[in-house]
Amino acid sequence: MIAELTVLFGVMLLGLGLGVPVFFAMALASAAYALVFWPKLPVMVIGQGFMQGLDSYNYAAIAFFFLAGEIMNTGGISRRLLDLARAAVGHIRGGLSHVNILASMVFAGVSGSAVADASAIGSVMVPAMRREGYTPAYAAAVTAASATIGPVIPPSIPLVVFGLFAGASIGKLFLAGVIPGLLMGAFLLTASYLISLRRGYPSTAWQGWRRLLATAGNAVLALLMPVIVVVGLVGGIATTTELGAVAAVYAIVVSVGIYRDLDLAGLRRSVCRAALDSCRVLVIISVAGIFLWIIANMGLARALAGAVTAFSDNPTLVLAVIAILLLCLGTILEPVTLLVVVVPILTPAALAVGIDVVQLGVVAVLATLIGLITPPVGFLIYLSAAQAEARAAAVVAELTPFLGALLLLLACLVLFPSWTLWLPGLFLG
Amino acid sequence: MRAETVRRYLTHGLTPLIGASLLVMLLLAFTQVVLRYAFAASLLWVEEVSVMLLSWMAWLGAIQLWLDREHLVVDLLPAQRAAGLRHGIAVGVNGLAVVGGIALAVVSMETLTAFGGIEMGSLEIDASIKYYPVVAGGVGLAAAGGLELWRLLSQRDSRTP
Repeated sequence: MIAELTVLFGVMLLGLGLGVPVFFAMALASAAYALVFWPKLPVMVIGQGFMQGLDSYNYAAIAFFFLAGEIMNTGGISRRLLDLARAAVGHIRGGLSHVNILASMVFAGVSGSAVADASAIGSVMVPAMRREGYTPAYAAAVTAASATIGPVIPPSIPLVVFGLFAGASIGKLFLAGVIPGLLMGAFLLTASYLISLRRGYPSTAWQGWRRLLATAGNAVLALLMPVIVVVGLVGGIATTTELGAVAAVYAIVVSVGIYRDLDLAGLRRSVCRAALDSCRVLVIISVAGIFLWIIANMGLARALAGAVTAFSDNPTLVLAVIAILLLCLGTILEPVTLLVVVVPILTPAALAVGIDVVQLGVVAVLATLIGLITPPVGFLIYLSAAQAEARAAAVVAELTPFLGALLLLLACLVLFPSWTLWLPGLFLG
Repeated sequence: MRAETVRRYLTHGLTPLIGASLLVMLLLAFTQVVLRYAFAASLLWVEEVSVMLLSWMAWLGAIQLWLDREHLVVDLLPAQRAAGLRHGIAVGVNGLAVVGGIALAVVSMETLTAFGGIEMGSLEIDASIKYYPVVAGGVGLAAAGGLELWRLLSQRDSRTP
């Protein structure tokens, strides 16, 4: 098995290191395996594997949630959410820094993607923060760190991917993400407040309750979207895929019909952009069909489960090891790729020692998301650094306290299963 | 005709197809919810059609993203210092895309032939139809790789795919 693993992961990692697209690196690794270990991988399985990777209606949910987020973002929702956040916390020392984080928390409820969150909030907040005297690197760091909240609070594309590959209930995963998502915001707000106090960052004047209520009223239709998704899942009203479709149609109705921020040409552009964003993920899932067939045929997951139970039967220790492994891999691989490749291998081992698959899901997603703000391949670092015209190294330095806050939360989620399992247990049993 | 012009024509053709696939899937899923709650009815074929649309969307999107050099990559090479290396890698990767794309199309055609005659559940059509997106994806990737090779070799552009 060692030789097979070396060829499969060696070729894949070599390809990734050379900048080959992720799906193509996985396909090349599968092809190399087929050639080196011929005839272990029958020709018929190759064609079937590529098709079966996507042979589930549930994957349409990914495209629908991308579309809902894209339309909400383009349709001026982010501006309304920022107004609400500014009215709520702008008066506290370091106000715009907190506005950035709070807006990300609220935006998380309409978008399931960290990149969409960073683009939407950062494009408005980074210039505003710079004008108020915040350093560009700090503005970029706050944007990047807070954008990681997006895929934890439902709806969440990485949680959908985890659920589909681990065979876990997406409804339970979505509910399990609520408290950790809110805590991420609280931990980041605390870090931002302490930094603002020390550096003497400015605050804006309190705009009054009337203004707060008015901005909340303006944003109420956007705020309803996560409620629709969660209530729909908890009430068993529709499947995750159908709720994705409902969320996307709701976003279209609100943005085009009610807010009138989006015309038909804009809607067409949003649909095409969301479709292409989905394709980035879907083609990786399609290729994962053959990649995971090879891994399953090797018996890697079974062997790993055996090795893990021999190493320890303590679920906290095993979950901590999994979290550290995902943190390390997350510094190189982006979340969806990591989840697609690693989750089917690790889940049997985690279940064997009694880790709840829902807790594993939230811990795994948070650990992989932290990778988005760690060098060398922290995508959010480069995106927000470009928005702020700051050096990536300076952004990394400013990110350190926020990274510390998120790592502390990750440790808490590993140590205290009730932080993730209480809410799904309450509503879904 | 220049490689860039061909690329533009191709992407202008692909983008509406990809967007339309998503839109049709959305309409089908939403209709299903409305039918279930308003008329206590459902369309049996919606899931199978949607899976096929999803597959077409993913593979056509893969071609478009290749042409746009917008696929997810892990970029570890320093931008300026490794321009020559990047160009060499891009040529190699696109060459592999041509070979790999053709191989994928051939292998998928074999699978498609093997599944001929087996009926799909509710649609009652030949199950081999599910493999057409992968065949098209293979052919498209080979074409996209070839087009990129043409562009790279004629313009000496150092961007990776």
